[in-house]
Amino acid sequence: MDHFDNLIEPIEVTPSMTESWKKISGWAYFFSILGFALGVILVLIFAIYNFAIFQVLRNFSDSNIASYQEERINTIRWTLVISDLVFLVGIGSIFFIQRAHFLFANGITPAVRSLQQNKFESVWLHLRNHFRYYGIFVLFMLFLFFALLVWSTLYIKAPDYY
Amino acid sequence: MVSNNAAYLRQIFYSMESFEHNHPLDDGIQSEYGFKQLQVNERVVKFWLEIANWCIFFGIFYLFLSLIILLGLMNKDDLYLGAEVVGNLSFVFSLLIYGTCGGLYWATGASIRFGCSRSETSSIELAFRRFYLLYAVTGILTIISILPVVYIFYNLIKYYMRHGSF
Repeated sequence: MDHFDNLIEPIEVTPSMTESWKKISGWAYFFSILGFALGVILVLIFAIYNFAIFQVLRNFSDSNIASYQEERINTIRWTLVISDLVFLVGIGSIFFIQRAHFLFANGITPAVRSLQQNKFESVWLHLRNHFRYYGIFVLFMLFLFFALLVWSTLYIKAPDYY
Repeated sequence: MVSNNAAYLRQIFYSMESFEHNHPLDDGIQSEYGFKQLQVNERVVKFWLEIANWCIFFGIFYLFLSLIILLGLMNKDDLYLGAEVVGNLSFVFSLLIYGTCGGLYWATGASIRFGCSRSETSSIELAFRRFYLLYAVTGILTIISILPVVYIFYNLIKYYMRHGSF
């Protein structure tokens, strides 16, 4: 329970607020469309990346593999699996983050114009969701970054020839 | 006569408006002119408060990023020299972007929290003007940072079309 709850008195929406929201909705459209475009670019990179690594793995399996190379192939396979998971989570997150932003941009002007309270509230719910998903995504990426940093510091050692 | 007609038309218009929007779920309050007005109720304020909290989080995050970039720049001996000019400029530019966005995010979040706690129309109006400023500045900086990428891709495609290969 937030300490602001007791202080709130209902107030009316003013023309100045609606003017600001209409301007914000224009930029929100821009950001959401840009975000969708970024998602499409990430899907393309994901496809090219997978294709390239599958080619490498196929070349390995076609040739005679020495026993010491087995470990390297397994490393490549696991790298592929983990990076694919990160990619998929990233692409899915971007889609939902930008969808919430787009719904806000698309809904705020009609909600203000139609004066329907329930529409107005749901539009702010979408913007809240956008910020919430984006924040959780950033926190997850930060966690991943620091986890990789700790893991690489503890477990990865330089090859012997160094 | 003209004023009577205008008053009559206005009356019809208002009655149509109230008919159109008189929905059971619509609990907007009546203003002094008889219109239904949207209400900033407790639920909306809760959403705004969470948005404000996330804005403050992003503000701290972006300022932290700009601090890391600043530390990186301070440790460079060859700032603005030789072939690294473009690299250093991009560092400086990203420092500007992250610093500006971080400051604006933080200020907007604090402003929304302040407006909600005061429960005053003028404070909330100010908070949303800042929110608009945040979106506009971030959008313009995004466009400026995309332009070099578009320019590079344009030239790559032009080169490929002319020579048939890279």
